[in-house]
Amino acid sequence: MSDKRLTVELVTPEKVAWSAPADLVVLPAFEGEMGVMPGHQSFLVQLAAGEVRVTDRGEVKHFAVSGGFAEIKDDEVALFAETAEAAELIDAERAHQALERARRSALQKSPGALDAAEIEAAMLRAKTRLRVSRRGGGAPPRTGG
Amino acid sequence: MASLRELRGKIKSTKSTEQITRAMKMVAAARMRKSQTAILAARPFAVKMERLVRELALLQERDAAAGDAIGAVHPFFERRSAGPEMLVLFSGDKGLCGAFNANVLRSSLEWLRARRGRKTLCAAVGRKGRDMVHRLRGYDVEVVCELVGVFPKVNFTHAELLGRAVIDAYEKRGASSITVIYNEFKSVAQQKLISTELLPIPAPPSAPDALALPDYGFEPGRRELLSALLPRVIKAQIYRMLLESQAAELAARMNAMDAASKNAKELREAYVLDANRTRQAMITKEIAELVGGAEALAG
Repeated sequence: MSDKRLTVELVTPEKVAWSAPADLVVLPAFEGEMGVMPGHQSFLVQLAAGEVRVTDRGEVKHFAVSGGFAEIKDDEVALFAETAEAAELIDAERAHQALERARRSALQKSPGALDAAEIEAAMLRAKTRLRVSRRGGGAPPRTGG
Repeated sequence: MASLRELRGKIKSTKSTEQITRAMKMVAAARMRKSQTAILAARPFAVKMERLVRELALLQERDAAAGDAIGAVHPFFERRSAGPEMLVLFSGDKGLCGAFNANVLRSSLEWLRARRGRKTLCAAVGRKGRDMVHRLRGYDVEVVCELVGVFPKVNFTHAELLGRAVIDAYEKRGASSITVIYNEFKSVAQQKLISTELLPIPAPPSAPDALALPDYGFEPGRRELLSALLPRVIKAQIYRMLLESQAAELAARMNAMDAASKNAKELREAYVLDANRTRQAMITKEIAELVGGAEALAG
């Protein structure tokens, strides 16, 4: 079993965000987290906004994704995400600001139903990014420059 | 022969035209390089998505053939006989790019002419395409979406906008099929006009081979998953087409402006030669007159 490994590819409409072999992938599936190891059944999963954890020889990498899909087939995991960011690359400061902005607009009176859903989604995205950036021991908030 | 003054005026104006076309060429070249990298980065996503959809389409066909209940066809795979057809054309906002716009518009017109008298829907990307659609008389065309001024800074939100309009037309307006016409960026020197069907999702060419198909597990259920996945696939495809069209336009402009600069240079050189000849002829004539006059005096 140790010789079988997963090939993980994280693609977004703009670019291939990341691609590497791995031993274990944990996905933020629609109905809860889902772990994938080599030899997994072919699966098509919808992803919620959340954290993707990739374990490669004991080393864990964290990514924040904002919804999308994953295809698991023949030990290949293809993640189609709308956006994907590695924990180290997340700008915690900006995520924080986005969260604040979303909170503020949520407090303003009578947002339309559509706006409310959008604000909630924005909040969820910002929260996920913040959580992931903390998990990955990401860079501290940048000051200046 | 034109006078020296006229020739000098022509040289000057040709020169300034040459400078303009050369500058346009440089701008197009720089932008094209950027959008070329954007396409190369976006292609893996689109290609992988397309492969996945092909498999899903095969699965769909196999289950439909087996009369399976869950195989009930998703609307995006369904072949409809009734309903208006829809055209999505990708043109540019500006001219001066060779046959880029002309090709798209000609082929769109052909498409429309073949459906004259029937109701059609249309979505136009780019100012040139929009203007063409608005100029149409005697056609029953309804424009459902216009995307103008998006080049050369296309991003995914534009694809979202257009994608939503296209999917709405298909789901709510009962469009029977959606055809796209766009220029594909083959290489810097070559653009290829592509006319293809976006919806319903074309049936895979190969016969469904049950053995080669993996039995997918789905989460959430297959139907929910498809209804969430397929619209995104459509948007991803539209995004790729926007990028292709953008790069193709810039490449076409670069080539057109390169040719224009070369022509201007040739023309200017011909004028300069003419001007020099005229000037020399005048000098020779003056000398001849002087010599003639001196001889007359000496005689």
